[in-house]
Amino acid sequence: MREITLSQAVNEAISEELRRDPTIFLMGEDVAEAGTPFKVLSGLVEEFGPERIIDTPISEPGFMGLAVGAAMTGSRPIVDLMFGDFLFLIMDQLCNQAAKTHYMSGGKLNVPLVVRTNLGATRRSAAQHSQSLHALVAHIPGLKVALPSSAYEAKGLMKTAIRDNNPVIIFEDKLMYNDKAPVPEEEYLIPFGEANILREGKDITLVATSSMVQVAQQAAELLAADNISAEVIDPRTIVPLDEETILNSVRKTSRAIVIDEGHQSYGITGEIASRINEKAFFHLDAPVRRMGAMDVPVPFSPALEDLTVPTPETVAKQARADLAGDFNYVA
Amino acid sequence: MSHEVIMPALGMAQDTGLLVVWHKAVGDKVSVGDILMEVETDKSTMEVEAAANGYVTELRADEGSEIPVGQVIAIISETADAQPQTTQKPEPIKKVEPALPEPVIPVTEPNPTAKSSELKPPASSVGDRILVTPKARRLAAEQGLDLSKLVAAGVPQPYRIADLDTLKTIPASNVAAQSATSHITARVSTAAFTRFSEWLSDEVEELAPASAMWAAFAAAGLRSASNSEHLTIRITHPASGTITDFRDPDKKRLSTLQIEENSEPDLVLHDLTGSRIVNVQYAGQECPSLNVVQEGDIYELTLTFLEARLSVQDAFALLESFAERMEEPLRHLL
Repeated sequence: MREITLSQAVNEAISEELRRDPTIFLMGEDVAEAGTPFKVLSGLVEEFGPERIIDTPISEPGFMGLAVGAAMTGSRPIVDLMFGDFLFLIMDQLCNQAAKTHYMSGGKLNVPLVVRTNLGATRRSAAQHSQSLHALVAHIPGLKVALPSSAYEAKGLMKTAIRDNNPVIIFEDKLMYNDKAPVPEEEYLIPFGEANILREGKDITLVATSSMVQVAQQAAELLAADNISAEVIDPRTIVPLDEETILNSVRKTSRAIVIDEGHQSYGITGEIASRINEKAFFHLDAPVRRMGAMDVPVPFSPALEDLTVPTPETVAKQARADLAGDFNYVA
Repeated sequence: MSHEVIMPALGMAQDTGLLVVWHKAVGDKVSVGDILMEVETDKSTMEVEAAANGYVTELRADEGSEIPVGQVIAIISETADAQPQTTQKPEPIKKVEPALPEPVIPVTEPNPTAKSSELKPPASSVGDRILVTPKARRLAAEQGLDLSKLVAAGVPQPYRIADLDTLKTIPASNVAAQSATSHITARVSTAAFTRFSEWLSDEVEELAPASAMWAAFAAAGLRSASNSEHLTIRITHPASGTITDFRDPDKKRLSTLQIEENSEPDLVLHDLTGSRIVNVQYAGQECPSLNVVQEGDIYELTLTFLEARLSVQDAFALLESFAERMEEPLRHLL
């Protein structure tokens, strides 16, 4: 199978959908002429024209509100939010309007809207361009949240997001844009709420999202050298969340570490760990562990920045401690 | 027709209002728009106007009371002499007075009805609680494993699934075997038993071995201390290396004693006659054992037992009974 980058996969997904459905349009800052700072959307304006690939002023609340209105009235907008950190600017349009309109209109209005944005640190972008803020929107009922972890996942989830009749926020990992993966030429969609078991194991379950899937995979390799068999699960979407796959895995392995690049406190790791505790309590042989980003503004110093996120080594160390019964060790 | 005055809702999230003061008294004439009362909410104090013409015939709330929104607090009637519908005043939620501190329950006299369940210590106190993971605890319960044996064996807590494998290797008897054993010893002359054996060999063609008779003696002595219907006595003879089990030897004729194979003994008798060994005691053996040693014309009888299995009283009775039968074997036949 051919291999393409995550950038190309997203580009393909959006292009194919734009061709399929004329009600879809895309807007955001630097999306047309520049093709985004990550060059993900290069070539789209040439094919679809400036009416469907719209460069906006630096005015996130404005174009986000515009998109919500367009979605209510028959269009299917894709909003390109240059950095996930800019979510703070569009919270009212997204959380008070887009998320609640279907409910508050008694089902008369749909908001088929995609916000495509990103997450991830260790790109030397400093504290205001390095956050992983998917927990903010996952907290709001009415919003779906997808976290692709490879080029294959990015294409399949993006197409599903565009076809969903509800607001979906899809976060891409900034570091992964140039990572290649096998992606089929033929069309495919990845349904929401179906986790992916990337590696089967029997001793410990590593539930990892987005950028942390690679970390968990590498940790599993390190553990295999120690004769510890780790199962790696990517939930793919955190809203909706495929609980059953996670719970079935933990019932088998008796241990779990949840790894996510959002800040650890009050985050995704805590939510998933809590569900495991609640629903698989009598299958646990060790405390369920959370491994998120350190609760600090992401440092600009590369040496410090790299310390703030889980690494294959820190995950493997935690897993070894759990297997050894060293329950006081918390990475 | 009378008009009911209710405590108004003056704010969106208001549940109650504080009636500050009545501007009208019972019997006063009121017109629409007259100030009837002042009500205080958490935000402000407001004057509330009458919404009907007539006479105040009832004031059901006291000044200074906190009244739920919607509750009837006054009646305005068309005539001054209308009969009150009810004399009851509404229950104010609380008087606005400085709150007294909560009554303190004396420490020396805990109220037995109030919080008895909370005062009770948990089933196992924290000090005794065995720390174990949820899964290991569940599996131990399902498999009938006793986690306290891991504590006794000194395995560090908290226990995990891996520790259950260790637990399975601890023999059931280990704990009992660790507890101390007791010994009592008796001495009897060999003369009587020797004479009896010689007489018996003259009378009976198929002679039972001496060990069979000892098994019968031991079973008879153990019978009163035992609840079980059947007793198995194991005779070991280290000198010849033989081990023989007898089932209920005290209930059968000496010549017809049945020999049982491989049953769990209720007592082991070590026949050390003809051997230089003077004491045998196996680790982990839970049933009482009786050593019979011959020194010259004396039999030395030593009973070794766990008090958990045989009380000291029963042990004395058993050994006494055995010694008596050795001294007067005919007593056994009677």
